[in-house]
Amino acid sequence: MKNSLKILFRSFLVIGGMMSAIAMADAIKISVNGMVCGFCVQGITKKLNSTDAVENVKVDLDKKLVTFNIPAGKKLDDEVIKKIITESGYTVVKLEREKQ
Amino acid sequence: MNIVGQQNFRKNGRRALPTAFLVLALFPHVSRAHPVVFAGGTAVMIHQHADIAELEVVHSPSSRLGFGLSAQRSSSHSQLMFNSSLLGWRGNFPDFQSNFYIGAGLGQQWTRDKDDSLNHAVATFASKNSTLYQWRIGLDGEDREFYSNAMWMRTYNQHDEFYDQGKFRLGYAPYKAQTNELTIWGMVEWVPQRLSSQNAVTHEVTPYVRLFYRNALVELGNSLGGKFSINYMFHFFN
Repeated sequence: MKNSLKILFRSFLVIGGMMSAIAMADAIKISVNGMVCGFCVQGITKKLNSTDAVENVKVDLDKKLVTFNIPAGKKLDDEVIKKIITESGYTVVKLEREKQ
Repeated sequence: MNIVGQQNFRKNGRRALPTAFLVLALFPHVSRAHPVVFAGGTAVMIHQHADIAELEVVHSPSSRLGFGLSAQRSSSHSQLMFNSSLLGWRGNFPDFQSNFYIGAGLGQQWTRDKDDSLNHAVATFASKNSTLYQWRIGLDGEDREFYSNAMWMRTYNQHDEFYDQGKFRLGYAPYKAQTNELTIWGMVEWVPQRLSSQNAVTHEVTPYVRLFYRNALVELGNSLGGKFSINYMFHFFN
């Protein structure tokens, strides 16, 4: 009986962990070269916002950073993100993805 | 086309022509500051000069190509031109961006009244109806404080003439604007131009103030010769 409760408890932990991992949003941080003006900011922002998997795009010209969130349940691969930035005319130096 | 169709075509054509000229009169010279935008982006550029005015719309299907239509009008001529541009090279650096463009254009020029107030090269070149062919190269480099741009273009007509025009710009912003902040630039533009049948090169130097906010840019200038110039540009994505 005791063992059965342990197994049940562990199963809840594993399933709970999996569920929370699935429901987590991704925070994306990209170092980008070539951003120098408002047109650059607008170009990147509009291109990213054209995908429905992107929320809250922010561009920091001082830090040369583009940040945004991918909401829980949505998916956007690193390669797709790099392609969007490249198509906007800029160079991705580094892409970091963090679970939130 | 049947008779009714021909009548409608003539009727609509008569309405369309003044409308087109009105549009040309309101907007119409040598913008092409952004011949290639980001993939899927469109740029609208308006240049209003004391002598000449131009409206150009450019669409980029990719970050390397731009296709545009420009309408130009002065008191002596009107011009329509299809343009295609290739971003041959872009250098993206941490605090600096540089671009090299090449482009070509095909258009038509219609002569209107002779206007002696225009500079001689422009007036002579514009004094003949002609199909026009154009090619151009451009190089720019900018960071958040300094801006430089060099462009040179040659336009041929059907009368064995060509018209050269250069455009060189240097700009400085006294502060680095943040993402959603108005940027103010001081800028100087030098435009030399020459007609093949003449040896003289005419020059125009224009100081500008550039106001740049988000995706819209306005430049206000007055040349050392006393001619006003206003440029307006905005980008959008659809």
